[in-house]
Amino acid sequence: MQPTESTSKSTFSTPFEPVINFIRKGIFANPVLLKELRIGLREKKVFIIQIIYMLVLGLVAFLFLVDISGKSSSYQFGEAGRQFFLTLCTVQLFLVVLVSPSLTSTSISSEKEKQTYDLLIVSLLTPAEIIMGKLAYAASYIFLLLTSSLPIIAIVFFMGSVSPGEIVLNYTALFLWGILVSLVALFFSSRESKSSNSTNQSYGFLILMGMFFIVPYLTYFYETGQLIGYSTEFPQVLAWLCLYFDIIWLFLFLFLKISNNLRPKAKLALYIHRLFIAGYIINVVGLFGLVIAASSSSAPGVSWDLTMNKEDTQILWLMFSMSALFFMGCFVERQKYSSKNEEALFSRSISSHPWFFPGYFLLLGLGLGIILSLLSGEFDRLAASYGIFALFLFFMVLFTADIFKIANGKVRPVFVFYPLLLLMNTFPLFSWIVFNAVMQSSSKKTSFFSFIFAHPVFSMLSLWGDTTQDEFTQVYLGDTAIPTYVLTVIFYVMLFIATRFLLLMVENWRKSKETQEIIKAQ
Amino acid sequence: MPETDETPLNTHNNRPIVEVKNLSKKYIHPLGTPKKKEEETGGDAVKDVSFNIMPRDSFGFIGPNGAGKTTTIKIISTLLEPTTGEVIIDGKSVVDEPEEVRKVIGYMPDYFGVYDGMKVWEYLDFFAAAYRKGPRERTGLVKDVLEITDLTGKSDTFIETLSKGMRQRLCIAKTLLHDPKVLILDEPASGLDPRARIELKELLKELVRMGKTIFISSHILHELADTCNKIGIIEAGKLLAFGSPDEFTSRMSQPDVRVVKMKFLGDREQALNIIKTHSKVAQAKTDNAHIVAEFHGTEEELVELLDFMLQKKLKVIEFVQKGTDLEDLFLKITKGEVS
Repeated sequence: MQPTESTSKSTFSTPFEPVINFIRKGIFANPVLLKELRIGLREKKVFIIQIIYMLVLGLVAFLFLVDISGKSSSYQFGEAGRQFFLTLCTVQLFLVVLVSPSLTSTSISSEKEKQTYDLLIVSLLTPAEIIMGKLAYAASYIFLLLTSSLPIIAIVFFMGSVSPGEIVLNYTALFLWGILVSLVALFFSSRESKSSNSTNQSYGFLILMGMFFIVPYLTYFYETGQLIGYSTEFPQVLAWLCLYFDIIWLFLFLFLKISNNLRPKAKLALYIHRLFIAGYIINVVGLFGLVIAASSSSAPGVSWDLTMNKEDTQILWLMFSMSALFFMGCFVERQKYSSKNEEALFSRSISSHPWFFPGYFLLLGLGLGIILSLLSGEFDRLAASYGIFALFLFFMVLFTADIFKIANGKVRPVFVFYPLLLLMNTFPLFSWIVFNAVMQSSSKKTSFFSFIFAHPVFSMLSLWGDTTQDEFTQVYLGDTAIPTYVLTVIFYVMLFIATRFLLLMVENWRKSKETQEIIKAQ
Repeated sequence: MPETDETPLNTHNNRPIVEVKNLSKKYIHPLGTPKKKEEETGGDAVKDVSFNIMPRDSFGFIGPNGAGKTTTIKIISTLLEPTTGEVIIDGKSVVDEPEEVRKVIGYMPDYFGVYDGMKVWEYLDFFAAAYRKGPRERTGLVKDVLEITDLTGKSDTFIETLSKGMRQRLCIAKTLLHDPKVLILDEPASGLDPRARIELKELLKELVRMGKTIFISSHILHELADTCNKIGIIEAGKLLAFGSPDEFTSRMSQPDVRVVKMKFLGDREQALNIIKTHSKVAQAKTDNAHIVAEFHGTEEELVELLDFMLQKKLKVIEFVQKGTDLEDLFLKITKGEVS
């Protein structure tokens, strides 16, 4: 048998055969992937999504081309090509991020609903195989979407100023984004036993991520044309390193967490917990490092100019946003004990205490404020740290109140999201305030409080426009400070009410739908 | 022929294939506070359950809904971790070597899960692959299990078009794919019509003949009475009784306690009062049109009861002694703590 096999292997009829064989082997090696492909590709949904995807892209490309054809004389064609490419990539990023969760957000929870989950878990498949299978299905579909968009993006070659290498790099980034987002959705799907819950949570998380990470990410992308950014200068390097560390860490954390959700193991859970603590510490060190590095921008070897360079501001923003996502993880993932054995293992670590992370936040906020106030030599800075302290306390009280409500069965876990949303809103801002406290030599006490209540959406608007940090400061410290302050507080309260209201509406809608289903079933 | 059949049995008999030792399971609420239901039952789903099952036994696990059957089964099939205690299957611990245990057991949950948008053979092929069977081996395997479960003709149809009974058999076919020594079936007969139930029974008997050990749970004793050679009764997390059906009947039916079912023409209440006056009647109550009485005495004395009733001018049209069947036994053993 062996010689015949080797001869058949050596004579390839086409150059694509090894590739095809590799793909086929890969698909057949993972039964979950094969199953997902069989079920998934039989659904109409998949084709409809692809059609919509292509239509949206085509429409954007068409409108763009119509737009530039009018002003061809004064408009440089190369510049237009670049704009075309950036626009299409941005639209694709939105579409990919929007579509990918739908591929995985129900993939494990629906197994639980159909009662096939136990069958899957009792089989000899490892959790890694299950995750890889589900993820590979999502990846293959994202790949399909991206390749189908290539003919449209190829129009850019007629205009120039975009290299094929750049396209490959940006497409890789798009692909990775799709996988990351579908992994996040898979994570929610593995936690929940209801598809509606997991979908709500994945898209809820996505909205947060979109508001506070993807949007600043895109502004950076629009400036530089790079979906994968980098820097060789200090301290920008630090920001990028922290950013990439967080992304890689997120992949690893989610993978292990899903695996532990599928087959709970006390040791693995403890390992994940330690990984989380390690990531947490590295993030905090990174933040401290950045702030300290930035505060001593006059030191030799440091090229960091936030007052003038918009890119630097954006990198910093990205990094803070990613850190915020990171810190959010500790609230999303509270430790569950599946057995006495596991409980005993965890009870030994202080970090498993329910008040560990809230307490840590409090100390961090206070500590950071005090240290920086001492570093800057101005005692006024203490005001900022107290402000942070008070706000943290506020959010912690909100958060614990919610946790208790959920524990008593009064509110569904979806409601965890609203304090999280607020936390997400505030964390980058806190860092920003502290940062400003060092950067600015102004001694206006009130300025810090106006910063504290300022909403990041406002500050983000300043990033979108051509405002530099000077103008940003002007808005919050100048004559218009008080109206801005009032406006932001109103915005904050409105956001708070709106989030609560929205979640209640979703909850009610789902409940009514469930009761309708029960009535139908009866 | 019987000798060749006996020999492997005897060698295995020394060691039970499923050993459940002091098994307890307490559900812990993720956020530390117990649910209302847990408070009522003390949070214990299973309390100190121990029993052994020998190879080739078919064991019926009976209890009312919520008694802890599914929890026990999930622990045995490595889906849940026990709070305390141990389960050893074929010499391997469920807690320490779950991977090894999974190779030996075939688990079927109480609701047979199937995927929509998949064909019968694809479904089986998927699970065969999930049990690490090679692509070539799989086609033969799928054919075999389809034959055992009488689904060969349905190989190329979509699962959603199958009837409930067929889905049930498909699920059993799935559990047979990796040739497990122990089959664990959680309420396999629930929701099936009588015909499908009979087919299922036949299939189970066939599987016992093939040499499988069967662990089957139900809340209806009827289903298991003639398929199982061992029965365990569980209620409120405690194993109340364990043994063969014959042992049960002999243990539970005391020789001089009889249940008599009677029917009269005329006033039933009056008849009931008269019957209650008889010295050997311990208990009597109306049951729809009948009167059911518990009688303590020999069969000769039972004739005296009939005589007594006729003397009192009661118009007896039915007088039947009820045999103690497993159903009564079940009701006697379980005290109705949960329902």
